[in-house]
Amino acid sequence: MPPNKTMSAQNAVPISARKKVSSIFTHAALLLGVLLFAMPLYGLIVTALKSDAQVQDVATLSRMLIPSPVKWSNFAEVIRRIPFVQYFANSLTLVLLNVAGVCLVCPLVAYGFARFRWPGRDVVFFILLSTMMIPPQVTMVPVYLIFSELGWVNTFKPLWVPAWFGVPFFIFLLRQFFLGVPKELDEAAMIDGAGSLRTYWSIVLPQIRPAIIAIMLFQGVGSWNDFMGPLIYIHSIPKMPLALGIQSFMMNHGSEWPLLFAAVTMMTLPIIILFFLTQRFFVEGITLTGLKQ
Amino acid sequence: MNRICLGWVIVCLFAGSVHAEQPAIELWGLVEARDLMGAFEAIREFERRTGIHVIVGTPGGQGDLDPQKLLTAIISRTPPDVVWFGRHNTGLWAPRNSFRPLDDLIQRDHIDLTEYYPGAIGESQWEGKTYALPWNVDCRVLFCNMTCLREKGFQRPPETWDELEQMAAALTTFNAPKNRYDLLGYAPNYGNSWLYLYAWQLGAKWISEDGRKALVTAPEVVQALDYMVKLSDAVGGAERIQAFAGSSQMEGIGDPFLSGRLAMQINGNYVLDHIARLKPDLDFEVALPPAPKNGMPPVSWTGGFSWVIPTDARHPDAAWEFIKWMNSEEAWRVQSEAQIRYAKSTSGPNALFVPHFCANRVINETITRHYTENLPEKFRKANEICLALLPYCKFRPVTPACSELWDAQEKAFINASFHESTPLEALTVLERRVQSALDRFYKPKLGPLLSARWIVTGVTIIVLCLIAAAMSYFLHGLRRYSRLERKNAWRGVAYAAPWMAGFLVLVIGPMIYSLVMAFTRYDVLHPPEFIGWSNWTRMFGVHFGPEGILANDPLFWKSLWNTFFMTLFGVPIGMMVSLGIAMLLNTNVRGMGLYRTLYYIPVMVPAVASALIWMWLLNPETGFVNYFLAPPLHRLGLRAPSWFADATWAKPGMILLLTWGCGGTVIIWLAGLQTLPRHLYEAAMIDGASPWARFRHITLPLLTPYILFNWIMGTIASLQIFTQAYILSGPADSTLFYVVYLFLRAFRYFEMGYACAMAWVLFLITAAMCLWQIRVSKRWTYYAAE
Repeated sequence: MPPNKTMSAQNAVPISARKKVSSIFTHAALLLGVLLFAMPLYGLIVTALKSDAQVQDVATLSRMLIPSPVKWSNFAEVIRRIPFVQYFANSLTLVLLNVAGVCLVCPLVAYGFARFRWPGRDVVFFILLSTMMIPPQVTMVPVYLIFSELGWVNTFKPLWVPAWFGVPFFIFLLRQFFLGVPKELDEAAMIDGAGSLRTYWSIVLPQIRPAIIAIMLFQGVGSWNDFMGPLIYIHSIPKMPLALGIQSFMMNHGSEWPLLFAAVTMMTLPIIILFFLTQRFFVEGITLTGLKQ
Repeated sequence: MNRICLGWVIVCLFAGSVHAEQPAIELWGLVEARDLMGAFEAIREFERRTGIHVIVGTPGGQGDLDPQKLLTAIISRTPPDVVWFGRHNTGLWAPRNSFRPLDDLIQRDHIDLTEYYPGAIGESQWEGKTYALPWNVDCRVLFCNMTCLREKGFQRPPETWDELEQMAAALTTFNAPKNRYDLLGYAPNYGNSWLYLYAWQLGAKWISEDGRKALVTAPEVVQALDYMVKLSDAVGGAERIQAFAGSSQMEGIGDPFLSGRLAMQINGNYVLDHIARLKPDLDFEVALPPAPKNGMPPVSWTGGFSWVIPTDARHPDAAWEFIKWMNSEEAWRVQSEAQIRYAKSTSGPNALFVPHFCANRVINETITRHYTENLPEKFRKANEICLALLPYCKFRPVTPACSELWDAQEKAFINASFHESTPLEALTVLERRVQSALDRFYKPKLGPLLSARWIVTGVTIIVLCLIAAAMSYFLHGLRRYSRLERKNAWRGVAYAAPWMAGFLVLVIGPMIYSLVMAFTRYDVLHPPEFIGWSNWTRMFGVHFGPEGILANDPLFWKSLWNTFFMTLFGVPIGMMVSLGIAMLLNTNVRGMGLYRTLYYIPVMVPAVASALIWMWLLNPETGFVNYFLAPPLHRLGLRAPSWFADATWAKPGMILLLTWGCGGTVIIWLAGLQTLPRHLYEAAMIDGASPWARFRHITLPLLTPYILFNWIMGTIASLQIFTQAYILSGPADSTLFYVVYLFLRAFRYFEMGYACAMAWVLFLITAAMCLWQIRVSKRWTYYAAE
């Protein structure tokens, strides 16, 4: 193909210089993006540290962006004004119960789909996949009525018992991982006389530890942030988790933005810290869902 | 590891263990608002005297704003023992037998109801029985900041509607470059007047005498709404007022009336105490609400809170003792003293205090006289005006449609003042809703009553049949297996069993039940009633009204449109932004890991938190975004959008919020981009292709599987937006998404059958869209494996 005019013009500039320019441009664009994306979080922390009067003061940029005086006391006051510690404990409890359920049950179910052949297995797996598409609202009212008949309303049970029946998304994810573990390991264990459960627990499961950690993190964050479930089932203040407690605070003290944002900061910060420590697992988990659709 | 487990166990035990062993009652509705601190002291005095512990909780707002919590508590037979209850919702609960009638206790303990203000008692009774014991009353009066008035040459508060309009317009100054009011003269609904006040001033009745007909479109109401709209336009329009109200703090030192940014307001008499506590040197006057014409008798209205005991409360006797105490003169003294102490602790030793009005006239006159003796002249005069107004106060009608009626008068003003419709149009639409709520109560459709138990049994039988069918298929398939394979097959099923059990009990069973329910009317407190296709005709049907063909449920279509808006615009925008970010990240820059982390963080932020953060960011007056947008736009002659205060900009604001959380999609794009073969790019560059051509002809086609995946996932998510919309509700139903509407129908209006029907519609729409997307994509997706 004959070289055209633009190519000769390009050849005039050395490649290394071109790469440098585009690299600077990329960095600039990325930085700008990060600034835009991080700005709301900065706003969150800054507003949490402002005094009531300064929240409305938008005279200058520095008044908007820099709290003065810096009211660290807002955090203490939130803990005093609302039962923040109780909310925090409730959220922790729910996270623990949900994560335990998911970690115990989902790998078991996924193992059943991955390592055994049985009639109708693929059909059932397809049904499992399609339940991911069902909007939870279709079952919301009847499930609520079921739990109401059982007397479980205003307890934690409706918020963690469903997790102990498996979560389709995690089962799907784990099955993919199981399929990647070579069958020779299973066979070797069987020859040595291990039953299927033993093989599962001691041999195969440790192979997919990254996936288990990933689902622990997904479920943990999901339970921590869950709002609609507690909204429907919890109505006693001492039993509220953080998300609901903060919304309740907002409805009762909507005008006290610094306190509200202080509470929100304390709810969000643990998640962000956890994420920084374990980001590798998150990314792996999400990446896999994209590849194996 | 074991120590960590032990630690967690201890935490859980601690979390679950805080329950007093002593006798206790549960009280809902009281908030720790600054003017209720005294009441808490009275509660503690009760605890000291009787040893009964009072657990105070306020899930989801003050007792009248969110009936959902109370309803779910009553249905599940775990209600609180006593509720501090906004009286006007009595009509919602009394006819449903949710509250215990108190007449027998009132008689037994010789409580004289004539001692109470008639407005308070009237609002607490239904069909001759008393369901609530009123605690306080209030009335609405006009507050004027006399400094502002005198500056513009007005010497006294307005007395008629015309004067009010004139003065409001004259007093208002709007700062265009900053897009905010420097001084707002008066806003028809800032404060606490509502359309109720203006309509009552003209003599409106709202509900007919027999309670069955809604009189929302009576000429008095229309005229009143006309006036409110005129007023709103005279001071700059509903958008600006909404922005002003959204960024002001209603209480506390930031209150615009106290800081001189609001000249006049009609509000409850309790504002007197705010002024006394926070800005006692404010030069203000109180006057009767301006009447439509000179010489008309004074009109105001009263609301307030009462004590109710829900049916099935577990400690009704202790609750009654509590109520009697809180309504005693002694308790009111304790309360007032505590309130004074609180005022002094926050505003200094010279702080002033104006007491609430007790609903008991005898107690009220004693308390009020005692505590206002030593107040400055202007407070005493103001309080006397309020006290004298109490006998002239109307009260909101007690009707089963009371929450629809409240919504109606609130929405009518919003719609009319934003000029979405004329006052008459707005009221007509809303009257229909009130009327249908009344009809649903008074003229129930004659459908056979079903027993919820039988339906559950039927569904269980169907599920068992499905299980039987699956089992027979399974056993039939096993025939071709060898003995060893059969053992393995059973094992496999055993492993998968937990999910299958959950699927039957929590998915299939409820789905069938929900389908059956979609053909019934069910408010949980009464047995379900089979009504055939009524839910569906209500959803999809139309009828003829004076303005032409109208939908039976316009909110249904509105919510569908809102949701589709997000699917149509929000999803593609999110995909494009995240693809852009992913492409930038894919260039092997240094620190790519760190960038990727930073872009992903917003995904982790709880939905509640991100809703609040963006509420602040997009605040029209004090928000960060508008700080930068407003000045350049102003120079072009435009105004910065009011985001969540404006019906047209609320959804774009929501799109911004959701795009902020596109980090998950970025990671999927990245994974896809990293599978693209480099040699194709190199070949293209040798051939002289421009970056755009490379993108269009190499990147895009190879990414199509990922485009499809993200498109489907994004669509499903857009159809289910809930938390952010629930918290941020935009004006004029502009952020009423489908799932939010469904939730309201189920848990606020108690129409479970209709909600189930809506849920099935959502399911079918989701399924149809996914299938359509997959079908359409066959033409343009390219799978490298093929």
